[in-house]
Amino acid sequence: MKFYIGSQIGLLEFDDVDIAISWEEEPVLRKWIKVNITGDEKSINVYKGGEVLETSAYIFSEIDGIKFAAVTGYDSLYPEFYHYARSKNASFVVSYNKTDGMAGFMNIKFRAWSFAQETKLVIFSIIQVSGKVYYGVYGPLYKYKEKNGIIIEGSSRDFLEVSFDEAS
Amino acid sequence: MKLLEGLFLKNLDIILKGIEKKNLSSNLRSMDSFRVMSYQLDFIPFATPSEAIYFINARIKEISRYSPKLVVFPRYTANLFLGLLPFSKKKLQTEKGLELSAKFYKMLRGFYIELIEVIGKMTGITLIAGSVFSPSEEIVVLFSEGKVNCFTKKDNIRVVQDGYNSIAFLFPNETQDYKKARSLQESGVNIFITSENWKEKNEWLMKTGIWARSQTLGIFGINSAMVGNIFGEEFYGASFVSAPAILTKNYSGFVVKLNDYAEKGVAIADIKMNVIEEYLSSLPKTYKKYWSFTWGGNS
Repeated sequence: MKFYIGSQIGLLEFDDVDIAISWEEEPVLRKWIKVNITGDEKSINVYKGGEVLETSAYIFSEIDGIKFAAVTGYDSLYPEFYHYARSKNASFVVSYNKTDGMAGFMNIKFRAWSFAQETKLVIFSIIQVSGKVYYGVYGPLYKYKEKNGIIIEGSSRDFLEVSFDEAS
Repeated sequence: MKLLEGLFLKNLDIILKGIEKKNLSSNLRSMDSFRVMSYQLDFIPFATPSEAIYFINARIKEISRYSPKLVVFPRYTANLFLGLLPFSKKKLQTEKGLELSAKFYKMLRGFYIELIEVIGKMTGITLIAGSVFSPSEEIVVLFSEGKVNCFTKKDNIRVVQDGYNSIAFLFPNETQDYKKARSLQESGVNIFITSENWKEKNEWLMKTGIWARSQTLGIFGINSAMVGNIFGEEFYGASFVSAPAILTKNYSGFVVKLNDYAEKGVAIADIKMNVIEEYLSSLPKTYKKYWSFTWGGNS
């Protein structure tokens, strides 16, 4: 499955994206984008075909038979939600958080990494830190080549392809 | 048992003479720093009784010097004494030799429990000393508030109340189980101890255990590890004390960690329980709405 993470405007340069994940902003509509997920520290919007499908503090949805969850607020800080998502056969979880300063940022980032290790889910962690958006994608330690559980980390837009097998 | 007593306990009396008895447990109701020592030992069994006596002497002196409230020894610590047994020599590994060896395991268990009790009573601190006596049985020896207790993985209750703090021991695989740690946390446990030995020099792998639970649940974690070749496999430690990243220097999630994977040493940290309590109280416990799912009910 092909993911784009970053600012919506960057989507104009990609024409082969299944899921776009961004911090809260107006979605860029392109017919090839199957799902567009945006959110902030209070709510999440899931768009399919340009229509807002759902708006909530947490969402369970599906694309091409792949189930996923998105969460924001305090629920996103606790393992209970991620285990709940796994029990619902989600393959990945998108979490949104807002914080100020390095301490809060590291706290949220390490939590996201840890949730990926204990649930074996792929976690997309979108954090707004003092006004700047940071993207982290984490997965099970040995599933990815660096063996550190970090698939992508940074503040610039990125494109990645993730396969979800039955074990994920 | 008499043989081992003769070898060690008489000498131990001599070692302990002159070391000031410290009864630190009486201070534990205070909210001040709680000093912990987590040992990282290399797995080289003692070749002679004098090596063993030197080891015991050195540890008691360290404990007396740093005045901790809690000391943790890694798994297999008791097995260091097996090097003293004649039955560990290859030429004596006959059927009869192995039978006698099994009896010695039992004797060693008794001796080790007594040793921990003696050290605990002399120093007046809480000691947690994990050990393996045979592949089929692993026991953890725990000394707290004047009493020695032993438990195995089958024992569900492994919590000691040590003054203000509740301390729980998790066996290595259990550190991955957030439900076990969460249920203990909800019952008031605020310090979690384990003894994980890692087979790779991969800090990320090491972080998947009690360090990760410190981040996701907001707990203090203490790991005490062996290094070196243990039963044919190489282990790299490491011993550390972990806490939520937000409460640690450099936001690393480690209060202290031994840097060298291959060396023996001791990680010493002063942990502040009131700081973690304030941190947890600042977070609404929204996870409780998932408990019907977590504990096996309908979601």
